[in-house]
Amino acid sequence: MTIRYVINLLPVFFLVLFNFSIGLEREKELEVKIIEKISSDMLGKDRIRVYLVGYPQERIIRYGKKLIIATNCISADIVIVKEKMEIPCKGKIILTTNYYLLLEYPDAVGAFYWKKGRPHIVFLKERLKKKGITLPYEYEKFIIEISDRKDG
Amino acid sequence: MVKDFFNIKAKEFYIGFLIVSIIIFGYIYSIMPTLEETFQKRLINLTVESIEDLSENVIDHILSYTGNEDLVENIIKNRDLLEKTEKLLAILITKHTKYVYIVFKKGKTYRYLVDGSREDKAIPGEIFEPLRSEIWDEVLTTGKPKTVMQSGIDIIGFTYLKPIIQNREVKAILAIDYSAKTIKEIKEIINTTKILIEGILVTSFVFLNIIIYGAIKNIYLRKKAYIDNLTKTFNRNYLEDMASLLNPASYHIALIDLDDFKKINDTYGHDVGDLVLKKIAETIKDSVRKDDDIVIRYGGEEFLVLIKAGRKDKKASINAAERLLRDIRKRKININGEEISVTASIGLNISTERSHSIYDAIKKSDIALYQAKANGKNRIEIYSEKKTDQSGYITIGEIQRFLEEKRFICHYQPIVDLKTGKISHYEALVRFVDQEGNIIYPNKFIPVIENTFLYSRLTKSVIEYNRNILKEHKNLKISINLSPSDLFTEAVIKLLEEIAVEDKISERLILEIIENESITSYEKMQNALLRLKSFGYKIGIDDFGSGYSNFIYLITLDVDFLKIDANIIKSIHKDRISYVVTETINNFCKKTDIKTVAEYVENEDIYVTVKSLDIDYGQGYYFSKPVPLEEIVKQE
Repeated sequence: MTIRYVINLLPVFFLVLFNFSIGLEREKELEVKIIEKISSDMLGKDRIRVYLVGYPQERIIRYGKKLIIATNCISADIVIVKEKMEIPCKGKIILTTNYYLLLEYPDAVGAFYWKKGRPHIVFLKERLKKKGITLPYEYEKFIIEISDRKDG
Repeated sequence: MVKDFFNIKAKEFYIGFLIVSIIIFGYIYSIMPTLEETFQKRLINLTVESIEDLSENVIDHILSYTGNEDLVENIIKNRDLLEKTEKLLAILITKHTKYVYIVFKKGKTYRYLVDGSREDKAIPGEIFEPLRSEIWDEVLTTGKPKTVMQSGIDIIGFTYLKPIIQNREVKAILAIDYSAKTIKEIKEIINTTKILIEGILVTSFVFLNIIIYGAIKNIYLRKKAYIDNLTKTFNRNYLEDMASLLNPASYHIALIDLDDFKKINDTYGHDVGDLVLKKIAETIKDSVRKDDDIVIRYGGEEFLVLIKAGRKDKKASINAAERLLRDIRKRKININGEEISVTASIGLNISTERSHSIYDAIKKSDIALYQAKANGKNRIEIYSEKKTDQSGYITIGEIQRFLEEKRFICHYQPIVDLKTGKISHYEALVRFVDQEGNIIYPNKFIPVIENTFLYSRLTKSVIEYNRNILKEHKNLKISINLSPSDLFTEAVIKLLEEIAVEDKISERLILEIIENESITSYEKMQNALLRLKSFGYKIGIDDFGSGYSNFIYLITLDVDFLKIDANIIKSIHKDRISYVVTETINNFCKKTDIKTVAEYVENEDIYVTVKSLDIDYGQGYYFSKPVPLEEIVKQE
């Protein structure tokens, strides 16, 4: 079981462990790739329309091969939030690049961010369920329950 | 040893040294990464140690805030406690530490409990991704602090993990992230040290090789400078440089000077002179032991031979000198079809243990050489300071002087026909006479010169001495002693032949072969005796029963008489075995037509006993002690 778990996580971990240390630009590229992979795995689509809130567009244009920037929130498959701002549409799946923002937006299901030099991926179990999202097995390690969060 | 040093094959030695040094340096290089790692660990430990006590204090304070209540629950619930703990953690922030925080494990994930960091602060309960969680788990399990290298994180070098133990249970981990700058500084120290060590290694490798190469080259050049161009022997430079290393007691010294060499130069020219020197040097080198002895060209026509020898090898060194002289004499040098030969004088110092330096020992050889020249050249003179050694024996040098100065005489002891009671002949017994006129008996000098050329020289002198006496006193019959080695000395045999042919006195000169040495070749001895018998000499065996006597030997040698050893005769009148042995020998001799002589007839009892056994002749104090010639002549 444990071995299978580790093997399943390997693709994500390889991305995380061996690539994030090769410079700021690579770090940005890696961030977009991880967002791209997470979005693709969540939605089960190859081309994803993303609405950006405070997230630099050029970064997505440069590195996101599967990501298409949506000009309005309604047409977007997913919203990526980097800064605390009002989101023009309700009920969209939100991914944040900050742990605080994950807690801030009730529609946010997960976050990818850097903390103390280490890459972090977090998903909230209840919100995934609420949105009807089933993530592949390899993400299990990153899924926490909101009740856990409330400990803090 | 000194000589061996110069026989080192420089190239092989250098290659050997190079291979060994490459292996050593290779080994050092191969263990460098391990050393580097150990060094880094040590430096990291030192860095961590500086904050260890402080972190211990901080943990103690935090635990004192919570009392017996659960640390994690208490801090999560109590905001004041959280703030106080944050402030405490902030104490641990230094220029080297980047983040200081406490994490705990909930389920499978780690969470921040308190974050004392100044930047990138986490909120309590926030997920913490440790990357290598197995090490964090180990700290939780074992309760022992650990340091984790963070090679994958740009801004952090390593993290120090300290377990927070409450009620014997690890509740959380205090984590201190050291900045990448710290590890960079440590690596810089290591790299500098590494470069320094590598520099020292390479420099010492290069310098060591240069030094060794230079030393070998120097030895090679010096060796070249030590060899005499003409004779290819060592030259005086060698002696000068090695003198301090040469222990005079380890060598006996023969100083050889070619006799009348100037005449060769004057007659044939210097080129021939050089050729003679070259050939004689070859002869000397062939005559000595290559590995032990050292040959040095000491002067124009002077050679110094250092004969490796111990204190007890004096006879061996005398024989070596004798061999040198013989080989030089024998060497024929062809000069335009004409063969020339040279003679040499040798000064031999065999008392080198008394010399305080090699030069002192050579000086004494030079004194002996001067003596050899003064005494007519073409001879060996042995240096001697004392007349007797510690055992009371006359020294070899002194014996040589006695012979040179003919300071010896013979005393004569009659050998009586036991049937008629008349004197048959006299045995000549040699004595040295010192400058004060004192008589020195053979037991003081014969053991010293046995097995040396001096023994044969003594034999020849005694033969000559008695030759003159026999020529002068026509009625006298004298027996003289010869050793088996004399029989193998051509000069002795030739002298006896000359006496027999020229003086025709061989019938009055009886030869007694001393039976006290092992005889290596009966066949050779038999031939020599047959030759002597053909000259008309009567031959006897002296001291039969003292050495290696056997009856087969007697038959083989076909001797005329046999002298039974004094040790058997002296107790014949009171010892049954002596009696039986004498009787057996006598019976055997009767049957093989060999006359018998009983030595040591000291008293009437012995006389009566040997007479009753029908022994032919008797000799001993009962008849007369050995007396000077004058007394015999008077009686005659």
